[in-house]
Amino acid sequence: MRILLVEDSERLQRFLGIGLREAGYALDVVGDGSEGLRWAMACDYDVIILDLMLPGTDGLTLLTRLRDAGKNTHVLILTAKDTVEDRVRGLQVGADDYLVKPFAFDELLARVQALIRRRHTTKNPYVSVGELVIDTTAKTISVGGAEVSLTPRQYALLEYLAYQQGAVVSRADIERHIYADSEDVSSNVIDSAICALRRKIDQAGSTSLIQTRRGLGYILQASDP
Amino acid sequence: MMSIQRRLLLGLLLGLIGLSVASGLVLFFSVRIFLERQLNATLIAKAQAFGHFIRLMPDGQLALEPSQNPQAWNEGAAGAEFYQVWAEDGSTLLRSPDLGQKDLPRGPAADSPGFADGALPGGIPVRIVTFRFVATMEDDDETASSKPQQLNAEQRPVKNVVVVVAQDKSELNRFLKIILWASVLITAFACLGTALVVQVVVRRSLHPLQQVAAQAARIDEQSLHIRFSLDGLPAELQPICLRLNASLQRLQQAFERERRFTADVAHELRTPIAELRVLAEVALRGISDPTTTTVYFQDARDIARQMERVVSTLLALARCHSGTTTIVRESVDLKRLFQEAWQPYQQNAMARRIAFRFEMPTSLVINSDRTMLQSILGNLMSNAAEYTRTGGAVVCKVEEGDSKVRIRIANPVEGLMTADVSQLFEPFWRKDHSRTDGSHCGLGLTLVRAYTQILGGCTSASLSEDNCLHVAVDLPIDGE
Repeated sequence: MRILLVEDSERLQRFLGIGLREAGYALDVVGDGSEGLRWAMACDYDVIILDLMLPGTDGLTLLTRLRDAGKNTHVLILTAKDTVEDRVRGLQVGADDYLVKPFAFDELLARVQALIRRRHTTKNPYVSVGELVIDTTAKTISVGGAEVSLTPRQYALLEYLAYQQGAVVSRADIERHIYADSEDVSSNVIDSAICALRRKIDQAGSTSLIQTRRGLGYILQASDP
Repeated sequence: MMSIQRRLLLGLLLGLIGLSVASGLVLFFSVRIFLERQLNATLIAKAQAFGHFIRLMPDGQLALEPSQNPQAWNEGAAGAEFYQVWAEDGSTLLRSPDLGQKDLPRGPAADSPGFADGALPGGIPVRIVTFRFVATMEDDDETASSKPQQLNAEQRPVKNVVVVVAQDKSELNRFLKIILWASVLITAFACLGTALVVQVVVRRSLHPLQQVAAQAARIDEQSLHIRFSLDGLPAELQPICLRLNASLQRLQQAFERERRFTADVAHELRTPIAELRVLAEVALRGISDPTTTTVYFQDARDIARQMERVVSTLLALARCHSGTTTIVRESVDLKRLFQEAWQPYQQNAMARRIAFRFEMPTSLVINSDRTMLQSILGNLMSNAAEYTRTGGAVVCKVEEGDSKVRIRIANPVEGLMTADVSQLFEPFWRKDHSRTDGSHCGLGLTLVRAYTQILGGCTSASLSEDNCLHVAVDLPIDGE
């Protein structure tokens, strides 16, 4: 899942960057409101984490312009402004969630995950595809009851495919949602990642859960009995 | 403490009831005196008329003129009159037939008529008039005319007598009794009416006070925006409420300042605490290599230093405001202090091509607190280095006056407006509130002003048309 962090504190950029990337999210970070708006308009982020007091364009203005432009990206406001008026204003302008600094990093992850679930119109933290069960809260997977270890990137790719199970997901979509803008996604990076994933989740003797649709992309679905 | 309403009620009621009673008494006695005077006048008129009817008979006896029928005196009826005539020797010469053998009460005989109250033997109250009278034998009297020859006035026989004429005053007393009861009733009703009217008037008059009290009761620290309404308020209360409103305005501003300050402090500490917490929580999720560990600890140290700076400055300000700051005066070389203050920022300033020009006397020593001066100059230099436009020049002038030194720091800035200048010394004010790099928390100039005032000086700031910020600090040369 791809997240945009708009935060001017250089330290928070770094610490949140480390934490969110380790949690498997593709993260773009900007420290300026105007720049943040440009990125938010240009890319289809799953979630935007937005500070309010920003140089350039402040967070509320950014959010207002984003909504005025018809963008429905889920936005979580992360700010030191803690009054009821601030929270109400933030939510009224179009934020989906509001978290006050200081905050627990786990709570931030949980709220981001909840927003991602909302994007994919599900409230169940468990996503099942045949024998494959994905726990989107603990970010773990199991196949036939046995836990399988994945790298954060592999998990992100699987979760993205699982949220759209039964539908073909294009390589471009995978590229946009799983890889940050700063990453160089060469032609075989996605193929390699899919191969590695198949090796870990497919059971011997059964059809692969991830099927390739030539020229279209990939589809995750339960194999026919 | 007795309430105003009670005091007014008590005072007005006692006063007005007293006045009502007095008015009743005055009315009663006025009527009584008037009626008694009328009675006296009537009595004396009757007595004089009676005198004319007394005739001295040739045999020396007295008799009433035959045309004067004593019955015409209305004897026996209410308001009846009685008479009795005594000779000088005290023997009764004439008397109303109704009296029988009983005497009328008589007063002392004098030349002028004397009035007195008395009672007939039957208990009938009467008003009596007693007067001396000289009975003469009239010429035209039938008796007199029967004399063979006319006598002149000096030769006529006379007789000194004492005449008492009395009039029954039972009717008058009854009337006066009615008047008395009427007065008592009127006074009682007047008192009752006064009590009611006074109570209503006092209550209505004091109603605005109760309204003001009710408005005051609604005001607490959460509702300091409420003001006393002056609509319909009596003129006496308007200046009080105007002053109360002014006090509320000041109180509200003080509370808002306090609230803003507290919120600013919380906000200022919230970001570094958030950084520290995320740092720790991300680190706890698994630090992969020692280099990263070192970086985390360095970050933690920097955050701690930033918070320490904020807290130390806040403590210094709190001490300034509470008056607990201790001033240690000593001889301080101002030029050297300036150089020391500029040194930490010199390198960064050079990197941003900021020149520093210093104009001051060769040597300038003042008697002041070194630590506070270091803080004042350090903050001024830090701001100058940070906010001077790239490529600009910081000009620092120090002039020695009679009793004070004038420090003037001028540096070209960007983005500052004239309206911002008045905010420069306010706590936590920053042109760009989004700055969260921790280098400036917006307390530097606040501390500069606080320390300068403690040292007996003053601060000011202005923005020239070419966007050059001028900060002035005046300090006494000898703080003692």
